[in-house]
Amino acid sequence: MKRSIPIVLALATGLLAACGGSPSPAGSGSAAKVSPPPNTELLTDGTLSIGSDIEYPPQESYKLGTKIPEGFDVDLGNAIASRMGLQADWINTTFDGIIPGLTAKHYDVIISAMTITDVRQKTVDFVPYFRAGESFVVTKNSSRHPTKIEDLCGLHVAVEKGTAEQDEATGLNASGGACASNQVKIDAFDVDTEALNQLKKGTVDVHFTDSPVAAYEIKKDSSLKLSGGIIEIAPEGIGIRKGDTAMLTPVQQAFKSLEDDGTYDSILKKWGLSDGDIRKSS
Amino acid sequence: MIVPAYFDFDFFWSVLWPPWHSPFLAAAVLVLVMTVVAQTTGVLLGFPLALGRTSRNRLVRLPVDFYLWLFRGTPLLLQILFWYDGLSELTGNPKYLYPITRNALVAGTLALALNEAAYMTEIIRAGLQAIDPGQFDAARALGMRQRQVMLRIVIPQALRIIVPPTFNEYINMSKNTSLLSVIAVAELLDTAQAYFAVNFRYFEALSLAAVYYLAITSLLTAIQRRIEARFGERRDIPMPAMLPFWRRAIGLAGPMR
Repeated sequence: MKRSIPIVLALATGLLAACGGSPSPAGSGSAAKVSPPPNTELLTDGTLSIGSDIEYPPQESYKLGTKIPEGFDVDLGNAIASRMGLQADWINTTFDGIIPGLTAKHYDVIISAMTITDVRQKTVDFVPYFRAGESFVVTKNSSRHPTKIEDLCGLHVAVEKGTAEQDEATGLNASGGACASNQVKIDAFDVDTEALNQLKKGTVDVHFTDSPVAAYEIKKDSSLKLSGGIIEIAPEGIGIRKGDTAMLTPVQQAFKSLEDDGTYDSILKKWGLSDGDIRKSS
Repeated sequence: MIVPAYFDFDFFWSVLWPPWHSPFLAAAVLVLVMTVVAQTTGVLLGFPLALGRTSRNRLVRLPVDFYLWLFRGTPLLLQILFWYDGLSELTGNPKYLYPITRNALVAGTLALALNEAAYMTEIIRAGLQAIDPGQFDAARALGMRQRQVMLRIVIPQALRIIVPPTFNEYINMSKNTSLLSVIAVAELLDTAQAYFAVNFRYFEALSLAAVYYLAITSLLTAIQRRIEARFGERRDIPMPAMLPFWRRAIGLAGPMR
């Protein structure tokens, strides 16, 4: 990537902050409180490298025909980076490899609609930033109407590899699970849009995905509908290497400042996702 | 990083042994079946294509050349997605295509076979063309018809050249089936991914798949040795091309007896 002026500026800011100890509160007029750049080794100086599976609209996707990421997560990640005095760089990766990528330092943090789960928390620390559930997408003329997770028994379901949805569907099939005797047929794909494509082709009965994605899909394609409501509502988090408080604390501070000055609300509103406000209790 | 590094032996071993109920064994059987079906189809398609490729008739040769240009000139992964997803998009997914467009296993095996046919064509063509033209002439001089020349003289000799690389292709094919994980065929890599998607034990799950791949390729290699011992090149008779130039030049090209 070419070193553009903003990056050089961000680098300079970062260096100044690093040399000068605690940064002085924003001097220039209306600029919001800036949290210090993380006191940790960044992949690239002056840049917050963000790992993301950029095929998950409306939270992250490439603007059609470009390599410019857009979406709720993207706006939020860019805002957090700039509060930290850094330039955001989005690194595309498959979702099922996103946690090892963080561990192997392919990027500094994960922002990729990642639900906070117990298993993930063994390797990742999270800054919760959004609440999302899961939904079943079916074709409009479908005779299948799953409304709860046990309804998937005996159905052919498309999911994305490495997602909470795949985890849950797999759990149903395990011995002692709800579908142990009438198994869910699970097809898992590298990208969620490929799982959706299988529903459109008629290969599967159900596309099981996150609720914001499902809502976006049915808005885009009138031949699809939701079956039932939103289930399994849970927080999504910004992923940070386990125990890396030097990164965790500034990200928390930056997110807090976005909440406090209303930036968070306006990004939620821009993407029609105000229902996912992390501050709302269930 | 405070995550302790360790190898989860309990997980690894519980899936590896006993293998009877392991999804990996089912996946390995599937890989073997797909390998045999796809590669054998490729070999069978390769023979007529190779004859077409060496034909003097342009109308026969050009379509074959086009086929090779297309299938060798595009990535296999692209072709897999083409048969599974692209075809349905292009045709509006009519019912008669459901066996392909709605069946990842069929679409995937078809993609592997058609791609392989292009490579086999070149292997078989090279085998046929390696036979000394003098062999044709001699057989014709003995009164054999074209068909007899091919079946009795050319193909038996060409097989010695064709068999070893063909068996390499079987081994390659067994590994190429892993590409079908992108369309959710439950082969070995897909099975490993289904494990680490849930428990994040990447190294262990990938190692399990590797164990089964090694078992498959070892089996194929053992078969390859046996078949080559029967069909392959005989080392005790030097091939004409391996003789020094001066001996061929003065006509001492045949096997010495």
